[in-house]
Amino acid sequence: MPEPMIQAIKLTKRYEDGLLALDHVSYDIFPGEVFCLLGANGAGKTTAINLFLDFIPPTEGEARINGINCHQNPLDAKRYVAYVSENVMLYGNFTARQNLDFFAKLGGKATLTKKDYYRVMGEVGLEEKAFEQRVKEFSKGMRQKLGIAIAMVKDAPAILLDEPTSGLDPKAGAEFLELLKRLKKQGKAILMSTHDIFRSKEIADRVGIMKEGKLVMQRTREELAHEDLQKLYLDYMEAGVTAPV
Amino acid sequence: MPSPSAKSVSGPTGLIGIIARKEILDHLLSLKFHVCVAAMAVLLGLSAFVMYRDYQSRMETYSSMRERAKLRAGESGLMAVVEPRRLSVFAKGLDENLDRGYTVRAYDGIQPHEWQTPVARIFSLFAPPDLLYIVKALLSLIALLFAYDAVSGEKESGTLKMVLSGSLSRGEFAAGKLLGGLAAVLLPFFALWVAMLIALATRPLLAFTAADFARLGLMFLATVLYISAFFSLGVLVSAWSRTSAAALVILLFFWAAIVFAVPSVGNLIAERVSPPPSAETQELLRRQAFVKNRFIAIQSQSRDRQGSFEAFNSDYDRLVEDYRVRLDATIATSKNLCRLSPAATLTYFFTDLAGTGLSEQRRLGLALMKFKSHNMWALTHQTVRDAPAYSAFEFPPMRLPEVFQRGALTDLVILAVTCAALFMGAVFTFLKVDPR
Repeated sequence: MPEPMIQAIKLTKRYEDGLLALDHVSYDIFPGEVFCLLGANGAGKTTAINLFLDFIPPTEGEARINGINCHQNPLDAKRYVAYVSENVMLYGNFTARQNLDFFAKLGGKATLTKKDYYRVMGEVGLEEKAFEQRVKEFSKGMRQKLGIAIAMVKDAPAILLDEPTSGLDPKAGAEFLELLKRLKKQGKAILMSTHDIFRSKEIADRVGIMKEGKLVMQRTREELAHEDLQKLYLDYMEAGVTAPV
Repeated sequence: MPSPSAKSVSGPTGLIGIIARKEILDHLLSLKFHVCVAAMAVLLGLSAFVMYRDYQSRMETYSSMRERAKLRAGESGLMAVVEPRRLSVFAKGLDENLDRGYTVRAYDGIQPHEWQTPVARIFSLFAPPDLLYIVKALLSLIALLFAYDAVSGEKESGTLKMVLSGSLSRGEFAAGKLLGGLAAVLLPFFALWVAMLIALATRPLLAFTAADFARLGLMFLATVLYISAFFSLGVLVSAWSRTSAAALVILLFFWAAIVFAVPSVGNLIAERVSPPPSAETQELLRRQAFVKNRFIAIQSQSRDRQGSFEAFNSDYDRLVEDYRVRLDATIATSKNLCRLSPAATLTYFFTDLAGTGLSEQRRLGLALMKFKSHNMWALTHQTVRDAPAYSAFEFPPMRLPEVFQRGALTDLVILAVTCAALFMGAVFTFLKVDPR
């Protein structure tokens, strides 16, 4: 049995104002697996991602990437993870290639050439004319694609996606899913927080529903095959908070 | 176990370099950079032109006074003429106050010469647009304009999260940003400064010596420290503030306080704590000493002119010494208070190096007293023109070790410590930034 690449172990976060954002949440994500976290705003999806990136310290529990505690050894852990946010924000004055070059070098990929960058940008579906275009002129869809290109260049085994399809038009959303499928095939462990129930069902190997900081449901793709995910989600949202799974 | 895909192949120094290069490129591509560099170029060009013309005018006054001193020596005492300092084109300081000519008479002591042609005093109304002013006020402001959104801007735009999601420590990121941002401010400025220097060095009146270039090198070093301090302050406030707009407002307040308010308030407090002697009182005391000694001479029906002069001279020297001690106390208090502001410290350092500072003014007073003592016999016997004892007034610039001994070293250390403290402060503040 392979080791989990992304692990939340009784992960808990209580903010200074007393808000319990995450309450003893546990899950494992294995290489080649996509885990989608569904939930309303404020359910704790983004908090979990922030804990994996050590932007905030956990109150209890552990976030691990490739077995490394993200809070105790953040730099080591972050060598194995790529992150794509809801709004991929890059340096607007730089071209797509310059942004890619900067983040690649930060990730230790110092030997990549212009050709390599063009190839990756082509693979994520960016048009050739956009390669040397300033990013401040990009649409959200183009920025998301470039964000994925950055993650691909980093070639990290774990990928964290924070509501990556929110605000994308249907075509851009579909293209984004295709990219995720390719990454999954490459063996990447992917954690995606999202509101998008339909795309989750299409791409996820497992789906979790979060409510008020608790992971109240987890289902595999097989289990979901005979269930209506939207109904399930609404049922959980309307019901009182149940014990964490 | 998968291999670390994002392993840093270049190490921490390499990562700092990557961030620094990104920072430089980001500035180079911004409109702000081009506007600021254009402003620097215009101001440095204007400074070179205006300050050279001003120096030329002061040199003309100096030359004409020196000629008069030669022609009319002895007619009404001796004349001491002070040559303008070449480096005053970069830091004018008190050069205007170091009046070009002084008359030294037996019963009047040392007075600014009444024939003195007033030098164009336009700069007394406005601050002279010398290099010191440009660095102190303009370049410090540019440094803050480059730094105010260094962290808050990245946080607002979301790029901070993207960068810190990588295996890069916050210390490396902060150091890279500081070094890159500083390079973006200082490199174009120094390129323009060198161009200004070349333009000035080719003028016939300004034949810079190796010692002058050494002093300019030290001014360069002080500028790096001063601007680094401001830039670090900018990054510190940017890391601490929630928004770039708030950071900018706070920084403009700090800039006004450091550049203008603290030196002014420091002088005001110094005047209260250690009041300076009044020049009018000094003149009154001089006249009293003169009258007293003349009266004693008349009362005793003495014809001993030399004895009367020596008695007056002794009283006069005592008065001057007392005046100097009190003035030194005021200056020392003022300097110590004003040094809370890096702008004041930079001013002391630049002007001392240029030979136009407070140390030079004090040294001039001592040199004039020495000149008077040396020519006492000639003065009392009114044989100045022919007397072999008469010697012309010489006032060469202070040597560099003496400049350092008289306070420049303290100023340099203060600037270095301020810069290091703010740099570390910026890095430590950034370590606590919440990038969300």
